[in-house]
Parts: sequence; structure tokens; C-alpha cells
Amino acid sequence: MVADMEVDEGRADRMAEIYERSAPGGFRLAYLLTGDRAIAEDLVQEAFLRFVGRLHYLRDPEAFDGYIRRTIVNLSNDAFRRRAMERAYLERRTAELREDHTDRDVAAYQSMRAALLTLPPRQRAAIVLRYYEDLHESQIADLLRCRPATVRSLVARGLEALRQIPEVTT
Amino acid sequence: MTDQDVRDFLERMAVEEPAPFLDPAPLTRRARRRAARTVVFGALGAAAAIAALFVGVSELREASPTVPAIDPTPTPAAVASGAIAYSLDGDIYVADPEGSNAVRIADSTTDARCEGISEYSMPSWSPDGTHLAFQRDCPTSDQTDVVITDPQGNIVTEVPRDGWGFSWSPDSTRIAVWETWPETVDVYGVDGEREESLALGPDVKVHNDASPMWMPDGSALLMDGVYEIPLDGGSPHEWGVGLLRRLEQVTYSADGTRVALIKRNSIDILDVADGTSVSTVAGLTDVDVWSPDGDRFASLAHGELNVVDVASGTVTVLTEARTALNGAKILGVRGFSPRGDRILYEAGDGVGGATALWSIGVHGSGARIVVAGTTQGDWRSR
Repeated sequence: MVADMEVDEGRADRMAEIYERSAPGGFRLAYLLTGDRAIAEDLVQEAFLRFVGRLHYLRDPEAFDGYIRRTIVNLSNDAFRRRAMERAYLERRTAELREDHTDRDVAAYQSMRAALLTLPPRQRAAIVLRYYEDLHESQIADLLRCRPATVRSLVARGLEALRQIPEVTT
Repeated sequence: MTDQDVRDFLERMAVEEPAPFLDPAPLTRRARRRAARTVVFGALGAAAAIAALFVGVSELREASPTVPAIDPTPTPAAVASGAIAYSLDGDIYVADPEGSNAVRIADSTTDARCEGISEYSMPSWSPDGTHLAFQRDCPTSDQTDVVITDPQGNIVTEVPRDGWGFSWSPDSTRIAVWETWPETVDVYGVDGEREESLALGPDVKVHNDASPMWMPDGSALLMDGVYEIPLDGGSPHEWGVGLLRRLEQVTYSADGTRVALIKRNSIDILDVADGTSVSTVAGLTDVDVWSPDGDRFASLAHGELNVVDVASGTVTVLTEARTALNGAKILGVRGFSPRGDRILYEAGDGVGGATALWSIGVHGSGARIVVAGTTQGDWRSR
């Protein structure tokens, strides 16, 4: 067991290399899912930490990016699934974003940002994965552990909510 | 708003916070600490086992290390009343109620179908304690299963699902999962046979990412906290029609004797048998978990763990639940012990930060850590 859990130097080097290559992309995804820099950094670190002990099991290195992406999405969902935490977070974010903006473009952006962050977690993830990561429905379905039809529902409902923003529709 | 507008917005938001320099050195240190923690507690566990031969198991359990020893070899667990099932680093463990004598009953790294990188999570005991269900997530395939095992980890069946959660029927014979969110819910027996496939229809507008829930008598599902969906194919019933429109959701006690009507700023408790009011609780807006006898419920509000005496509506703030965490926060509430005298709750200092499961007496004393490194755990109800 001890041997299993040790992080030897070779593995640490490989981990560092993978981390430097993939962490920035992971951070951007995490930031879009959470809207919070500190939480995004935490999510990325935790996603990689979960991978450390399992590095030697992975036969297909190409699967790594998918693994990290999925773990970040799952961690984000897990975090926001706790309704009390989400409620407190959203109250804080909404208050921060409820500032008056004379610039119409800035106002529309801030309203859309607030709307994105108030979507239910899976709708938000589906929107980000579809329009930022440019993933296909089947890939998003795989990440969110659901069916493609569900992805279509999630994206449609998320877009419907975003389109309710007055600054965007007018 | 076009698809391109959405893309442009997300691009703009992504560059709003430039990716920081993510130094791998702290990550490597954290990995070493995590590995070391496991080794240290493994050693503590071995020492504890030897000591137990001399001083007696019951005495030792009172003074056992706060994080359980981890046995990497799945072996039959002596599953007691109140045994805790929890996920840690992608595996499922069963331990004594306060976390000692942990046994790994499901090792995800041996899951040959997923290159050893699958993750098991969200363990949930059946109400009668005869089965355990947990989620299996495989990043390299489209497997989306709920795995049902016996208390020793022997797989009984696997149930496909459409993401999100699942829930046990009150009689422990069935499990409900989303077949396609938000349209169809499937009900499976513990033998893996699909017994029902319920199309919710256009009148049921589920908006939240909530798991399907059960009515106490097992005759219907409760979706989104407001829609009752009969299993016999009858018409859905929506709570909140008419005067009750202000309802956020309803939740039943585990024994089915009480129902809480959750409103924006208060909770009304009714007696299910005759519909009379039992009490009204002001200032709380959630019922996180009910006690087994329905006499109490726990609610997390404003960072504090609260216990409500249902008969009187009295709210007791369990301040020790928070102060014992040394600055970490209470993240959620998991459940009451089978005797209803303790509460299991989640604590952490941020997403990806240190997390743990804690327990505290219902009267607000005796807070102690149960399992470090996870927030996902469930006390066996019998």
C-alpha cells in the first residue's frame, strides 16, 4: 500500500509536465463554470490531485484531457449541488454584479454573466461545454453522464434563460 | 441572441480572468502530503489493531484516531447499525458509525472496464440497510451507472441512469433514476429489472437539477419538491396550486407522519394523518434532513447548523458544529443517526480544500470528526 501511494520523483516530473500543459485550459473552464477565480484554481488543483495516485493506471495518455475536463465539471457540480452553498454564493455574486452601468455593452455583459452564474449547474455546464469548449452533444453527454437528448434540453433551457435578459433582448 | 453571441460572451468572460501561473510544485507537495496522510493513518491503524489485542476493542474505539485506518484489501465488514458508508479518493468504504475500522468495499482502480481511473461516489444505504448504492463514473467511456451492492461490496446489480442522483424507495426494494432529464424517470428493482418508466408530461416543469424523490408510502415520486407522480400511471398532482402557490417545495419525514411546506421565509409543519398544523418555523427556508421518528429536522442556514423541534417549532442553533471546525465552513447536512441522537454533516474550507465529515449530538455538544478527506457519507439507518 505504501508503495502504491508514494509519489516518486519520476511520477512527480511527469505530473508537473502534464500540469503545466493542461492547467491553464482547465482553469479557464473552471472559471466559466464558477465565475470565481479562487474556486477555479482550487478546482484545477483538486482535479490534478485526484489524478496523481492513478497516473500509472492510465494506458491512453490521450484520455487525460478528457479526464481532467470531466473531473473539473464534476467537482463544480458537486460544489454547487450543495444548495446552501450555492445560495450563499449566488447572493454574493448577484450583489456584486447588481451595479449600475451606464455603458450599454458593459451592462449587457454583466447581466449575461450574472444570468449564466445563476443557471442550474448542469445547464451552465452544458452551455459552457457547447459554446466555449465546442464539444459535440455526444461528448457533452459523456461528460455530464447523461443522454444527448438531455444535453439538448439543458442547452435549450439555458439559452432560454439567457435570452430573458432585458439588456440582451432589447 | 445568436449562437455566436453566446460564444463571444464566453470568450470575453474567459479572458476576463487570465489563467494564473499554476506552479506544479505546490501541487506535488499536496500530493505528497495526501499520500503521507494515508500512510500515517494506515500505520496508526495497524498500531491500533495491535493495541486492541491488549486493551480491548470497545475501549480503543473511544480513543481511536480521528481518521480511520484504511485497509486496501476488500474483506467482509462487520456492518453494524449506523455503519457509515463513504467515498474517498474514488473508492467506497464502510466503517463503524464514528469512522473507525474502515474497510474498502469497492476499489475503483480494479475496475478493468475503465483503465483504473473510474470514480465511485455518493454512497447511499437502502432504508433497511441491506443494500448500498453508489455512482460509478468512468471518464473514458459512456458508462453512467448506479451500482447496487450488499454491505460487503459484492455487486448485486447495475442500473443505467441519465446523470444526477438517485433515490431509494421507502421499502428498499426499488431505486428511481432519471432516464432522460427532465422528461422520463425510471424505477428499477434491486434485481436490476426496470419496473416503471414514467413520462412526466408537459405539465410537469422540472427546473432544478434535483434527484427523483419518493412519497413515504412508495406509491408515487416527488419531483422538484412539488410534483407528485403516481407510479400507477395516474395524473400528476402539483403542490402549490391556489393558496399554496407561494410554496418552494414540500418534504416528508422519513416515517411519513409529517410534511413540511417550505415557503420563502418560513416552514409550516403539518400532520399527514389529519392535515392539521403542528408548528410554524420562521427564519428557516430549508429542511435538510429529518430525524428517523420525524420529531426533529436539521437545517443549515447562515452558516449554522440548526435543529428544529417539530412539535414546538423551537430552533436550536448548534454553534459548536461550526466553532469546532477551526475556520472551515459547514457545507451540508447528511443525516441523523439511527437513534436520532447525532447528526452527520459536511465541512470544508473551500472547493478542493480540506474536507471532512463531522458528527455532533442533537443538543449541540460532542462535535467530532468522523472521516477526513470527503464530504460524501451516509449512516446506515438500521
